[in-house]
Amino acid sequence: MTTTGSAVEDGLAHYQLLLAEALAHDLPTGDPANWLYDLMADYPQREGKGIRPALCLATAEAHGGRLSEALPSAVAMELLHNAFLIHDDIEDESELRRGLPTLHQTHGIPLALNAGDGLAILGFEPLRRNASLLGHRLATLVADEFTVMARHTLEGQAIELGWIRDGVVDLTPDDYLDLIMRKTCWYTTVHPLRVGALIGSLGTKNPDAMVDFGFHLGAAFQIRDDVLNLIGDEAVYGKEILGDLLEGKRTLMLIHLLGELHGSERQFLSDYLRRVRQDRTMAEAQDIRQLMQDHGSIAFAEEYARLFALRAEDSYGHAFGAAANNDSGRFVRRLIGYMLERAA
Amino acid sequence: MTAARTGPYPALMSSEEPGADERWQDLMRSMDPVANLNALADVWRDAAASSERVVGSFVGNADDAPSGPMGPETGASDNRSGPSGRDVFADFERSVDQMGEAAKRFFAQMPFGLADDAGPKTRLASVAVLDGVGTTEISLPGLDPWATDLMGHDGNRLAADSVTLRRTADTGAPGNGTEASFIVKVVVLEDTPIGVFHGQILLTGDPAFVLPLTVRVHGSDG
Repeated sequence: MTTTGSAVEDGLAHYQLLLAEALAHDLPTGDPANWLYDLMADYPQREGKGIRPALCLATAEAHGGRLSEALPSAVAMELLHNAFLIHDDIEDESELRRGLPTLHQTHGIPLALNAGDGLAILGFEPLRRNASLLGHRLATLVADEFTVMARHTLEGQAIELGWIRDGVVDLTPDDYLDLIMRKTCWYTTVHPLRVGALIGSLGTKNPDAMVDFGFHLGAAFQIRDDVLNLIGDEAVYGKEILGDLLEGKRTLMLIHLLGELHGSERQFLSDYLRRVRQDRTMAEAQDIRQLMQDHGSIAFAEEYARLFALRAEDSYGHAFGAAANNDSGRFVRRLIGYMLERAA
Repeated sequence: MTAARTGPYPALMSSEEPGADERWQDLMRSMDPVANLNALADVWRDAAASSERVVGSFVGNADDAPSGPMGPETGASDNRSGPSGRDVFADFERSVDQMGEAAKRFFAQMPFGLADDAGPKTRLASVAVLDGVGTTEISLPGLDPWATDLMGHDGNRLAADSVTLRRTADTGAPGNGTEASFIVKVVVLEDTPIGVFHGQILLTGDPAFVLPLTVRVHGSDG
């Protein structure tokens, strides 16, 4: 790990610790523990990278806010994030999450769905507390941001699931980038940055300034994640390698490959994508990965990620303005390289 | 839709996979470096154009924003776009809140100031009136408060009898740092203009006390 990577991980650990303490107050205990509350606490206790709350807290600090002012919103983000993960794992039929079996694999789909609903609803409680902490007007602005974020995320998830269900293969990189803006970038980077900037500036900053930077940061993150799903180390990555291919996800590599293949190879890939997950084999997924390597699809996606990281660097100064050079702002800036280099 | 244009750029990229460096070197020797650079430039140009289109579709398109119940595309910031009177009003409301928050932060930083958890003791009462009625809870160092008339920034007046103050529970006389809690209820007539009204809640006698009161009257669409 580079010095920069280590500094980022120290920063993430710092914010993660604060978040864990705050989350513990919001997660209910008691009965029915083994059917609900233990399940709701499961994913939040599996330590993730904590990028969303860290971005929110650091951005609020960078803009002059106090951590205590942004912490409830960061908790709400984390609760909603874990709710999305539970439902996402069911929808994608995923087997691993953060190195352990997914919740529905362990407890079955009905109880996992219910626990996901519980986390989503619980996410509103910290937002309600914002009214006394931030004032009615600012709390309403923050709550509005959550509504917009949820909408974009649901739209992105619907588009991706729709592509898979309907066997859509006629796609371009534009389609992919629009998808990940909704599905990943908005709620992973743009939303935490917008909320942090609003809280830190007491509502005086136009959060639209964060969209360009947040998109490029989030897109670099997502493309790196897609690449790791093909060539990463499963023990470090925490999810099943080739899981995206088995699920038929339309990644940038897959879209590129579809444009490159002709004849029988193209027919093989189209047939593969039209089948349901249960009818796809690991051997076929490995063949497709080899095609991606042979046709430069992975390198193509890595170039997109590299460019987006550079563009994130370019837009950082505009996004953060006077807040760009304090410690918290610099932490956010270091995340750009971290997103591109990460192995998990 | 068509797939992305591609070129011989794979030869330019190194990879962490075993043997990749050798294959990369082989490819580099076998291919025209100028063609590779041009292909790489094409990829970057396409990527940049795509990202600009996506970002552009999510920012600064208030006219295209959906008008459904979930609100504008880019959220809160759309309140700031466009020069309509409603936007000006929204900015005015925001500035009032900012002043309150800034004052809170200022006093919190003073040695004699309010603690972080001061919450209900914040020296400002603010009531949002939706569908003609609004309430908030305040604490006061006396038992007989009364409200003044409230003035709007555009000259409109809200009569003092729009405001009622009711004690939440009889917990004895306040004093020695303890205060009594009151529910502030504001009821306005249907034709009351939308806007912000400023007045005061007063305690006469000992101790004399003045609490700024802000009432925001919203339309039915809130």
